Amino acid sequence: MSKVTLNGLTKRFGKVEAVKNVTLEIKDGEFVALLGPSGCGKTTTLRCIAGLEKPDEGDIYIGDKMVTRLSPPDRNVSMVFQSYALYPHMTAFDNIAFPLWIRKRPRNEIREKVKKTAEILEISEFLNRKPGELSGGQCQRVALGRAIIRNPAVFLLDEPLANLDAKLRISTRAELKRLQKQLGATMIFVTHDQVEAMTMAERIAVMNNGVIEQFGSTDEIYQQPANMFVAGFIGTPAMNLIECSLVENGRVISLAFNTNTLPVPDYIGRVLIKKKKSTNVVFGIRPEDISIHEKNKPNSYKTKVYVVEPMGNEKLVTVEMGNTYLKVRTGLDFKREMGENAWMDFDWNKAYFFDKNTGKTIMYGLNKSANSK
Amino acid sequence: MMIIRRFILYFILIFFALFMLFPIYSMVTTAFKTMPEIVGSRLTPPTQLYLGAFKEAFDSIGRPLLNSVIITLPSALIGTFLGSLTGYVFSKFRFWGSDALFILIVLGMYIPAQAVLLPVVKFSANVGIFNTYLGLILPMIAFSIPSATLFFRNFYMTVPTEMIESARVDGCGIPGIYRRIILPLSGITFAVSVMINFTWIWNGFLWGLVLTQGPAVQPVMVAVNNLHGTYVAMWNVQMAGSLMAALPTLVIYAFFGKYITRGVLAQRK
Repeated sequence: MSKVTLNGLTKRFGKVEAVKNVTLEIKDGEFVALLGPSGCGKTTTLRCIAGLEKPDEGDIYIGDKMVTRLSPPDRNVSMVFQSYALYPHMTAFDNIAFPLWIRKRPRNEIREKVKKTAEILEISEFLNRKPGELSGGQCQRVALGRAIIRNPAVFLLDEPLANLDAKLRISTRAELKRLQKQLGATMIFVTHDQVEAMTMAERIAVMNNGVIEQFGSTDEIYQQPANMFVAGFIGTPAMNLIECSLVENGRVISLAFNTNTLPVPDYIGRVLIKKKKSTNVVFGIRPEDISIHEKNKPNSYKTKVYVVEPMGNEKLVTVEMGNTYLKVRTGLDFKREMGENAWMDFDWNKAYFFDKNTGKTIMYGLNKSANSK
Repeated sequence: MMIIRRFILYFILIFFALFMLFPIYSMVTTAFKTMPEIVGSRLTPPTQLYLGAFKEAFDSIGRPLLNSVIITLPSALIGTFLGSLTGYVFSKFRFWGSDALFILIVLGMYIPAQAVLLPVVKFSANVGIFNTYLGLILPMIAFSIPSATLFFRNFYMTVPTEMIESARVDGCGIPGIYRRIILPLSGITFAVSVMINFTWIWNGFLWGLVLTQGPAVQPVMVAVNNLHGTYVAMWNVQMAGSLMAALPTLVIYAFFGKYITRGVLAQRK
């Protein structure tokens, strides 16, 4: 296994810069996700690592070897494609054995390795079938087998779970994570599904418009998003983002939006004033960090229920404050209906503030250590 | 009203079907008749099956039939194979000038034979292959490549590019990908292309006429044309000869016609 290093990687398609100056270091044996919306450059980055795209600028290292100008077979990587790309005229056995056939390995060696790989992936009984006779999950395991069998330096996976049904996706996530640990493999996978990225990867590179917005552990990405894009992209449902102005009224600092005024804790107010040159900020708070009540409580804000979405184990309530709508996660005991009044309060520990112009994070609620960075 | 409309429709369809089938009926019945029987009546079926015309026709076109097989089979096979190679490259690889090159190759389909007749004849004479099998095979291969290229390129574009890329990452070069992945997937397409090329090369008349002299190398369609007789038109011999010459392509179309139609329609895309 090897580490992977990208230095200033840039790839253009005509006038479009799909990957812009991406620098990344992935440790040996690490499981990393490239996460982002469609068109953000994550698949292009993966294809550059595989050698299927030639970068216009920058370098790629696998281990200590520069592989930027090497063809795919010379990079010692294997890749699992979104569609699995199994060869329909070959059996599962032949598909898995294919990389070894190409390298003219002895028949006995091939037979043994395929058998061992099939045992790991629990597909021994399907080896004589062709891809057309296999289910989606079985095809995916055959594709993984083909990737595993030659023990490459790096595994690359392009949306490996996208073609599976919801139930199979959940079970395969766990299997893939277990497999990565078992093999100690350096794995880089591309996904647009943040739940997949959060559950499987050790570190996540969140990409947007060809750049890496943030590269960090799942905790860092979730709890200390570097900017508004990361904050809004990670989390289901997404973080509530409200554009507001800072208003000072004596010693009380408030957030003003529409006709509403939200006083903020003293610490937050002081830090915001100090860090922020202008008065325009974006206030972010996750749905699970807002509490909603049927009765008025101290320090709570009056609001109106816009819609209630029962989820089975909880409710997702959308509340309106003027022209602003916030999503709140609450328990099944919340009984208010559409149009009725409710009261909510915020966990200011978990509040985020972003610069409206640059999108960068100004402060992380009451987290003094994070705010001091 | 519906019944009347249907009646008219079927009447028109049957009329045109009979109109199209009549020449074949005439050819078959004439081939099995004696000359007096033909002179007596051209439309009635033969009273008995006379095979003498077939024997006489075969005496003249037996060797040309063999010539046609020798010329057509390798031309169709090699032309198809080369078209498959070029179609693969144009479908999956982009390089400087690839679009222009592809258009140039496909334009070859639209060059009329008459435009290149003289240069090809002169060329074959200059290099010493005039009136030889090679003198016909090479031009037939050349003329079959453009349509085969287009045909295979359209087919290979339906092969997922990820399959090719997967093979590349696994360590396969371009020739290896063709041999191990592309070729095994093209079985039916290959067969259809060979049949299409076989049909037009076998039925070709002009090139056989200008590039050969005498029955040693002459293809069957030229020999059939020479069956008309010096003083008297021997209709039964001509029809027998035409029937024997048409038989291979008729058999191919009878059994594999639907695949050929699908292939031709795919070329039009």
